[in-house]
This record gives sequence, C-alpha cells and structure tokens, in this order.
Amino acid sequence: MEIEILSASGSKPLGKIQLKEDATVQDVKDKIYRNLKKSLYPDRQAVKLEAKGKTLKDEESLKSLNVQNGAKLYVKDLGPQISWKNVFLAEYAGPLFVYLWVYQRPWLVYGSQSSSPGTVASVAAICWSGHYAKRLLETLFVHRFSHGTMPLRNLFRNCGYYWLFTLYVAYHINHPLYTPPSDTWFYVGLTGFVLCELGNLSIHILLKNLRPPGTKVRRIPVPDGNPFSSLFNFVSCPNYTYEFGSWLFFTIMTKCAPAGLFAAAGFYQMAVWAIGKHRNYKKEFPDYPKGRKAILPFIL
Amino acid sequence: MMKTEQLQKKESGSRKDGYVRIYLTCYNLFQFLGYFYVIGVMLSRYAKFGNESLSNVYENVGSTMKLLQLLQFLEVVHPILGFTRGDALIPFVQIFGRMVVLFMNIDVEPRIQTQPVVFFLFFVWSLIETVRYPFYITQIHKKEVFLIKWLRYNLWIPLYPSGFLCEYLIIAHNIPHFEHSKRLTVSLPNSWNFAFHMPTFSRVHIFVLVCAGLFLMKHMYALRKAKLNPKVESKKLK
Repeated sequence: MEIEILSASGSKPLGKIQLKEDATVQDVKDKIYRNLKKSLYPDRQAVKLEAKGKTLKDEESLKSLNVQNGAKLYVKDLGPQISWKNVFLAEYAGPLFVYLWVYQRPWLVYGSQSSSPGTVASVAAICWSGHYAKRLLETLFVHRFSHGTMPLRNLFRNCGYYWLFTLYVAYHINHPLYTPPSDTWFYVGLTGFVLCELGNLSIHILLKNLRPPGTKVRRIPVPDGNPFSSLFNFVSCPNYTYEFGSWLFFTIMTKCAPAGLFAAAGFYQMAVWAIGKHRNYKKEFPDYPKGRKAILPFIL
Repeated sequence: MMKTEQLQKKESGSRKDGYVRIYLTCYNLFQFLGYFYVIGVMLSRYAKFGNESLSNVYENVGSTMKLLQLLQFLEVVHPILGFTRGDALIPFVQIFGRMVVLFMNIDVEPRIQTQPVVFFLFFVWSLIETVRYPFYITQIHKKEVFLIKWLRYNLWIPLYPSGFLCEYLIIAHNIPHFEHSKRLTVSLPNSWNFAFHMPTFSRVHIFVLVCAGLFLMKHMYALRKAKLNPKVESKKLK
C-alpha cells in the first residue's frame, strides 16, 4: 500500500512510501530513512497519526492503527540522537576521574599544598569512585536498555550535572581544612553506604533478569531470594531508594553539607522518575500490589 | 457530555477542580494587588518628592517586596502539587534568582539600598507582575482579554532586558563590598564542612543570569509568535 509522509512541523509533504500490508511503524521509519530523507535515521524519527498527535510505538502495526492505502502519516525530527549507553558511560566516567583528581589536592584547586587527605577523606574517595566504577560496570554488563537513544543535548545536561556536582562535593571533602566527624558518624555512615550499594546492585541484577535478552517484555518485579530485594514489597523503585540511601549515608560519613545537597538534588530527580514509573506500573498491570509506594516506603 | 469533560480534563493535564481554581484566583489576585500597591506607592512618592524618592524606595516598599517575593515560592509548589501545568524547575530558577537579588544582595547591603537602580528594578519587577498575574487569572477561567494578552506578550520586550540589566548592576556593584566585608561568606574549617564565598557566588550568578535571561527571552519570543500571530491562530483553528 502507499502512504503519504508529511513533516509534523508545518505539514510539508516529504513524499510517498510503498509498504506491505503487515507493515509496522518500524517499517515506516526504515522506509522514510531509506527512500525519503537520509538524514532522518529511524531513531531520530517520531511517527504520528496527526501533526500534534501522540508518538506511535515501533511495534504497532499499521493495520491495528487503521492506516490504509492512501493514508497520511506525520514524521517529526527529534534532533541528533545518542545511545543511552554512551550517555551513561560519559556521565559516570566524569565523577570517577574528577573526584580522584581533586583527591590529589591539585594546585589548580587548592594552590600549593604539601599535606595529603586524612583517613575519612581517603575512605570517602574509595566510596565515591567505587560507586561510579560500579555504575560504569553495570552500564556495560548489567543494564538492558528498552529505549535506544536520547537527544544529543541531554549528554551535555547530564554530564554538566554529574561532573560539576562531583567537583563541588570533592572540593569540600578533600580540602586541607576539612574537619572529619566523630568515629560514630564515620562508622554509621560507612556501614549504611556499603549496605545501600549492595542493595542497589541487587536490584539492578533483579531488573536485568526480569527482562529476557533481546526483548521489551515488562513484568511486575517481585523479590527474589536476595534479602535486599524484599524492599520491592514496599516501593516500586527500590534501586532509587538505595541510591538515595547511599548518598545520605555518605553525607553522614563525611559530615559534609555539600554532599547532602547532592543527595537532596538526586532524591528530587529520582522521586520524579519513581513516581512516573510507579504510575506506569499501576496503569499497565491491573493486579499491581496495592501497598507499594514509589520511592519511600509508606510515604511517597 | 461525560466524554467531553473527561477529554478536557485529560487535555488540561491537571486537576483544576473548583477549590484549586478559587485558591489560584485568590493567590494571583493577591499578588496582583500587592505589586499594584507597590507601583502606586512608588509613583505617588515620585510625584510628591521627585528624585529624592529614588533613594528611599527600599525603606518604603522593601518589606512589601520581600513578602510578595517570599509568597512567590508557592509558584514552585503549584506545579509539584499538580495545581498548574508545567515543570517546577523553571519557576524555581527564576524565583530563586530574584530571591538572591532581593535577600542576599539588596537586603544585606545598605549601601545599595539607596541607589536609584533599586527603584528601577522594583518598578520593572512590579510592572511585569501587574501584567502577569491578571493574565494568569484570565487563563484559569479560560477567558481571553485581548489587552491583557497583548500586554503579556509585548511588555516583556522592554521590561525583561531592563530588569536583567538592573539585577546585573546590583550584583556587580556589590561584589567589591562583599570582598571587603566578608558578609554571607562561610569559610572552612567548620563542623559541617561547608564553604561559601559570596563574591564567587555572585560571579557565577551573573553568568547564570546572562544564560537564563537569553533563554527566557527566546522562550517569550516563541510564545509571542505563536499566540499573537493571526496566521498561526487561523491555521490552528482549521
């Protein structure tokens, strides 16, 4: 069948494409890319039924959408895209290197210094870089991304957030005039941090196993044998709960207010994401467990 | 009937039910009256005392401005609660920026309070708000008053740049004062390991002010084109 393609901005006609009867939205994107506009690779396109309508999913078939011979479809240019994996690698590599660089007490940051950071600052450096090393490894070996790409400008926004916040926190903890807290603060914080990191890793592995390789299947996550995963009985996104816990305990361990600001900013963003995911779960699964909250057990 | 209602609810994307609408109307009306009062005081004092009134504007309307500015923080809370559409981040940046100018630059530094630039800043801020709040009220009730709409999408052209310029002048003027007085500066060591250097903060603030100012004016320009251009309007109706 023949379909006319128009651009969503301004409704300019781009041309016509020939498709088989059982074609999906993905096939439409491929055809637009190959026959009409070489600059619009499939990930860069959003295909819609109307110029300002909803974006159609790749796996939807034209038949189910009632698109027949001679119909019109609109395509929107989403701008240059970059894969999630590359964004993750760039945004997490920064904190690792920036923190370890500031830990050396470089002249550029502190002027000429002869002293070196104390025990608490050294443990903090291990925790911080351990966390981001873990995230890099997870990005490479654990995460399965259901969306392929995101707009390129997100790369700059995300990297700016992580890199600058790292510089800000590291500046205070590695400062020659840094005051370490009492032993109680240090040990409570360190224990909490390590437990939360283990919890976070457990959840990421559980989520990976939830989705069979190469598919976009979605299921309700439930605790497996791992005790850390029992947090799923209380919240929809325990990985975010653990992540926030990590930074809260890191703040306690170092008794550093800027680290607390980082924890608060991260919490706000993760709460927004968690509420969105929680809502999607409830919408998608009618039998979704009632007692679960989004990110904080019993509260939010 | 039910269907159209549901559709409308979906379209607006927020639960503007009766109470919320009443509350938002009251809030916007209060803010409008507040800034209208400020303009009234400033103009009547200028008529009476002439240029002399430029230097004691903070004495006269400073506390009102501080109250109205603090209340504006509710505009960050409204989108979070779902009272209004949109993101909380942009109003947060805008209102936080004004708070810094008002509370951390003007309020703490008596030497800037008597400068005419404060008069101009308050005048510009108040004018922007006396147009913005009535516009919001018309939007809440889905009414369109052409004059208010026209002012909303045109008055920013002279007012936004003048406002940013005044803010810049105040911040820049204060930097040497802060270098010298060490006010608001917190230095290490302290038990919460928190350092804050006001002059550095001000320099970063100026940088952000320039970026955010350009962004905001670009945003208003796009809105203006979309809302006031009859061609686009008629196209939409088709």
